[in-house]
Amino acid sequence: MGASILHLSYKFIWTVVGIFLIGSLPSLFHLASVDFTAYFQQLGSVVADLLHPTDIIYFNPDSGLARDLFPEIFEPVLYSLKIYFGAFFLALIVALATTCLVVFLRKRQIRWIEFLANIVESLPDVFIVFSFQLFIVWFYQQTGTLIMNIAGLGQDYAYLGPILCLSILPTMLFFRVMLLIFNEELEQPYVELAKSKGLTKKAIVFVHVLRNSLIGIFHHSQSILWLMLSNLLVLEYIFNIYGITRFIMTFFSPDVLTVGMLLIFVPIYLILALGRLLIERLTDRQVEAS
Amino acid sequence: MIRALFQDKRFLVGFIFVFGLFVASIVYEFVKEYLNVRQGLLYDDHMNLLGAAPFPPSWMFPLGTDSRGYDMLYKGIEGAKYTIGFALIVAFLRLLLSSGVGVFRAMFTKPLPSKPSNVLDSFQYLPMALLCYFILKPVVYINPRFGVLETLVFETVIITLVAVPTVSVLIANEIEVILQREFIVSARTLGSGKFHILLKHVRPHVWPRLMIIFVQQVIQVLLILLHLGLFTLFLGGTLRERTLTDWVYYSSTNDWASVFGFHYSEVNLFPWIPLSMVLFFGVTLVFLNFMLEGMKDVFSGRQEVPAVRKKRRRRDKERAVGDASVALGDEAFTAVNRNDFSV
Repeated sequence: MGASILHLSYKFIWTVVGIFLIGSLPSLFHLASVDFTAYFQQLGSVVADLLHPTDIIYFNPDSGLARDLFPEIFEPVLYSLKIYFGAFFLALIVALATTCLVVFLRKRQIRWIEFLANIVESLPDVFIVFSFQLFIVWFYQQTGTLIMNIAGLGQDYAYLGPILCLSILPTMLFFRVMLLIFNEELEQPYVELAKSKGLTKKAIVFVHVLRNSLIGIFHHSQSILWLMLSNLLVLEYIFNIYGITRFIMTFFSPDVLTVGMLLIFVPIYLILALGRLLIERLTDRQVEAS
Repeated sequence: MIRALFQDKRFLVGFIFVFGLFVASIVYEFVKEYLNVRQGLLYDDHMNLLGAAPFPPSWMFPLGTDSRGYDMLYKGIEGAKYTIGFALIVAFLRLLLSSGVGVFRAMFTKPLPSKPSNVLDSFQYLPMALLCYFILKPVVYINPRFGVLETLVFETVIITLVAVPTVSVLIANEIEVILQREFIVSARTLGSGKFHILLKHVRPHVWPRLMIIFVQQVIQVLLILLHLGLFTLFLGGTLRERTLTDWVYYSSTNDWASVFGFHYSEVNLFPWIPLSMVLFFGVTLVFLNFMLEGMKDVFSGRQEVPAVRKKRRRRDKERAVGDASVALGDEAFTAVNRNDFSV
């Protein structure tokens, strides 16, 4: 079953339903006891609120001040999305470039590189963000130059630091996946044919193998994007930047949680769905099972 | 199967580290009086004061000390049993519950449409740590009605339940794949009942996957614990005290995430204190991933079991030696007369 607009919309709607269900989940628990009536009441009120989106308000827990959720929430959402997708595409490009180069190395060296990538990949995100920050601070202490802004302060937005930091994990993940897919492609009969025709390995890799690997790479993009979300949470906390996850944490309410999740979900889903449609139309091959 | 697992280099390395750390943590409780755990002030040979805690990493204190002089290395070893133990328990419970649900779904209900898996996809769009944070916050932030044990139990339950939907779908899918195989179909034709198929045929194939999922869950729980510690939600409850300017968060247990969260604010002054705890997490996670890779290799048959490798080596050697014995001696070059058949 390939992708079709109907199928994707079906998937979209059901996931939105799931988001609504999860958004009110904290109201299910009153301290340590489970209260289903409160849960369904909350669910109903969230749905009702979303019918009049411009009326939704959120409260500042410290000052008790109420503000309109829309359009205030768009600012942190856009900020987060910029960093999120910036890091994603950076990781994609860097990993792709590295893989294309690494393919030409000896097997032994490749295994070493894979080993290192494996280790970096298994480190917790807190570790990576911390080390990143401390490295910049240490560098500053040694040389007096601040390479990049490592923390946000109010209206002062940091971009380069968070994007670089967030891109480390997906780069490692992409790299590993790409190496695997590239090697699989290189064993295909068409590669042998190309070699026998006299094409250089460079040409084969950069033109044909690359194009055919894009499908497998895209398939993994989904899980990598999902992993990056929890990375984003930690990143926003440690870098003290006010993105959407920080927003949800600070001004918590079921409305805020649901709306926040929706605003994260929709762009990601759109991009994934578009990518899938494009690839299936252009290459006539299916991307995944459903 | 288990023997093959323990012969795999990567699994062995990971397992020895994690198990060793856990055991060391337990042994520590008994020997800590004999170790130099705390050193508030440092004197040189002439009893001149050299410095006061906290000490940065050095030969004497490989990971430095905290502001009271406690060696961070020992603090890490002490907390290992709480952190790793909690992760093991929660991962086990997750596996137990999810297997129950997954098996039920795979074997006793008709194949459901893709609807539930799409609904459960929505879980991916919310970091689990965030969800746990919202649910746990009212209870964990020092509530006088709950003691350490109750808070701990509540935390265990919530962190377990949060993952059950996704993991049970995973297990159900695995079982469905196994159920498609030919021997199941033939078993069913021969008339075995559902339970029999489950116990005799499905189980041996699903065990390896379950073990892999177990280790994956341990890793996930450790990560959640670290994130919750960052948000000052500690195992066993967060105690708060008000200092002149700020809240200070304590914890009742000394597990890694709690120590980390407690000292997180000091990262600008004494970075080694929180960093050493993160290091413990990181190293443990790396070794757990080694274990995971080793398990994946062994269970997918990619790895050559040492017994097989030895046999193959011996066979290759014999073949090589055998070839050499077919040496070309002089008699091979003597002319063979057509009438002479006694060669």
